[in-house]
Amino acid sequence: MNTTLFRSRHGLIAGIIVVGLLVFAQMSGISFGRGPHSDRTFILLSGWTALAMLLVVAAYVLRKYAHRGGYSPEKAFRVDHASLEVAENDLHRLQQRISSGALKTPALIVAEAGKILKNAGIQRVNRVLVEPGQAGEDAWTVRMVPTEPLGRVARWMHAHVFYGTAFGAVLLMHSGLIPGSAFGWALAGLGHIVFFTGLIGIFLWARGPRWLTAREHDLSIEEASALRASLGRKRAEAISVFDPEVAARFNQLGAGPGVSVSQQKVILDAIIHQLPDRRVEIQDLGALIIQEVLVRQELRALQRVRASFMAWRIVHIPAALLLTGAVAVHVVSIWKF
Amino acid sequence: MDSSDAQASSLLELPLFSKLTKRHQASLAKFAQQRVFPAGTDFIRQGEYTSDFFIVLSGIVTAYRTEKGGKTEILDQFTENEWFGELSALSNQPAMARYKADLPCVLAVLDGALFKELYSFAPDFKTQVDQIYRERSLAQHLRVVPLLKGLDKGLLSSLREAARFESHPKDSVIAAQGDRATEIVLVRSGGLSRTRKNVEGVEELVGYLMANSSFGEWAFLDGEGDWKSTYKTLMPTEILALPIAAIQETFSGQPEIIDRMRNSARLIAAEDQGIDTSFYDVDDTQATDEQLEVMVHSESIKGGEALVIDLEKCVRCNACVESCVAVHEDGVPRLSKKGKRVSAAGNSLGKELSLTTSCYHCEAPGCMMSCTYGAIRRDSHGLIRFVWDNCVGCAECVKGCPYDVIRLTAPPDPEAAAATSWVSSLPLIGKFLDPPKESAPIPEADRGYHREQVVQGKAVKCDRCEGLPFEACVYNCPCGAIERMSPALIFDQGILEMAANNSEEPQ
Repeated sequence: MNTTLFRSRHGLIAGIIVVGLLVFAQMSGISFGRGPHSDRTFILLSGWTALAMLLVVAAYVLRKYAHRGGYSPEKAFRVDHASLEVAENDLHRLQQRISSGALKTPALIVAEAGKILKNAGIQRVNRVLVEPGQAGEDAWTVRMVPTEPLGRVARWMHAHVFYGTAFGAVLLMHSGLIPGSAFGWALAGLGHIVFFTGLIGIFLWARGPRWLTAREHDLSIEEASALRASLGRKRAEAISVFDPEVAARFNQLGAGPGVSVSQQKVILDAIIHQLPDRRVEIQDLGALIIQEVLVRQELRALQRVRASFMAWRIVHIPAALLLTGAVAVHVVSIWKF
Repeated sequence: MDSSDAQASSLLELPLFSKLTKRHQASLAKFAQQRVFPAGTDFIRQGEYTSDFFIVLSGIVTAYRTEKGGKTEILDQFTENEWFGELSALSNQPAMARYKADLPCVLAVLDGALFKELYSFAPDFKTQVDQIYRERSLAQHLRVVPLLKGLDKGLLSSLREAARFESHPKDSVIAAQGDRATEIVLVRSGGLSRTRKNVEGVEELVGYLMANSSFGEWAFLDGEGDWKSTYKTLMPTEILALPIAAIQETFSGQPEIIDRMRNSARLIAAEDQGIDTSFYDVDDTQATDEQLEVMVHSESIKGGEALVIDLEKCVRCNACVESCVAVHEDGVPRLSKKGKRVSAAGNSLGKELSLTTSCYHCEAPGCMMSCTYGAIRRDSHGLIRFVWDNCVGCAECVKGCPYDVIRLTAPPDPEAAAATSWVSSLPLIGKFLDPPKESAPIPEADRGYHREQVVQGKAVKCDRCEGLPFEACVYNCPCGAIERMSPALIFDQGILEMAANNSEEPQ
């Protein structure tokens, strides 16, 4: 189980926010949503908090897909190889100064290294790590690592998970158990669908990789996919030397999932009977086709396992998109009217 | 006759190049460069990877070596018509010394590919280089052999006449298990596999020996026993064989040195025995075997940081590959998720891992050795880099890479290659907001020496997103499943030491 999904300071922050709102409501004797003991300030506070959380949750999605689409703003920081070489050469000299004892404290080393990066114009791309040297090395070693200006997507994922979960709780405080209007029901309904599918998603993403890894006895899903493509190419090449009529029968053999291995053998025997002088060639091709079928079956089985822990997204993503739109309408309408 | 012609003809007058064929003369004239270094310039640093070969045309160059304790000594001095750099060019190993121009110097520089071409196909050039190597550098190089470590250079010089140079093609058996062992072997370049028959008679891989490794020291102790393993070349390999009898004869009048060597040999033999014991006898042989195999096969022992996927975290969303595509203009992913799997029992993290197929920056890079266009070079920090302008898409590196990490792509669209800003990649309006820039032409002298070849494609591999503030796959994994890791983190230190047996640290 991937427990790192649950270890984050965002969990603490989200928890504090939710508990804070709960305590505030309890101490003020406020009931959730609209009702005789409802409070306008609390409704506004919980509403804005939920909106802020939704924006954080959406930021993860934007960040992830912006990069995949090639629109990361950090790409504008790109520097050329020559600048990196200049910095690396200067850092090498810095290491020699450390070796000779001229620089002794990490603070001094970091300051000097910072100047080097700035002079080379790569301070936005790389930062310097100063680490204690291993036995036989210098007291401190210096190396460049990427700055990762926006932080890793995995960290944004933590924010997505925890603020998304907290969003569900805050939404409940904001709307109450029984929303007062049809639009309120729609908003709350969508919110809870997104919340619960998200919870299922967290569980499945934490557990699913282990299921798939355990299922990948002989072939990984990537290897199975590559092998299937490779066998398919080989089969097509081997079939192309036969007459079109025989080739069509071969193509039928390897085409559908409905033809079992034993049925394939029967069909192959029939082709051999028709072309006895090409028996060896046909048998080789048959072995290739059967192998392809087996790999295809294995691939399908692995894909099914993968689909089992990815399927929640089929509901989660469209519902989240609808929710975002509905929240926008809700906020604008409250603001205006 | 212009100045470059004059330079070329003066170079061809050197005895070293006097017997070159017309084709080699033409390559030399076109691609050897003359460089001027002001007095006091350090032009090669100790520990820096370089594959260039230098000939002093004027001035004096001094080689300084600094030992770990900080003591610096002068190794050698080179004056007019003398050369250096052949060891690094042949072995792809880091420079053993710092080279400094004591006076203003003019040097002729041959890049590694051109040097190897001449060394392989110009017999007279090879003979001269080997002869001078034997006279000047061999004694220094012999200090790499553990048995001879710490011996005075003068003493080692007396061994040079007995040393035998040999070149072996791929898959040659240098020494077979059970045969009579009569010499210590030093690997000058290339690499060997070391296999041993186990108790069931099955051949098992024990380790690799790369350039500057040596084996056979224990034979000194046993008085020429039998080889305990079989040593086979993995690629074209240059070795240097030192007969045990010659060593004993050379130092016969110096019993204290013989004793010291025996002690060293005993230590080496004990370490060797240690490997045998743990490899065959312990209960968790399977785990040890797996670790060793992965480490040795992927060469991650010395390969810097491996790109590792934690299979218990990876949800197979493919974000890593898509992110890789997004940062490379040609749209070809450098990352393949296929890779060597390591079971939870086979690593110290106790997790199911996959060592992805990413460049290992090998100790003896098959790609670089198979590239005859100077398109693959090792940078000063040991990373293997592709010089795209020299690549003609011959695909030899793809065949040469044992790990299938190199892919061939279509020749790049110059407009796309010149576009580096994210603004320019915006659909429809990008090209208007940030028009593509013309890239500067590469000077002829900086190119490889077969430029007449038609460019059929470009070879690509993981470049660790050089120049960007992130490594795309690691940066964009939503589960934090992919990570750069030092092999020491993945595997026990003891296993690393075992696997690295006989691999001498880089000089």
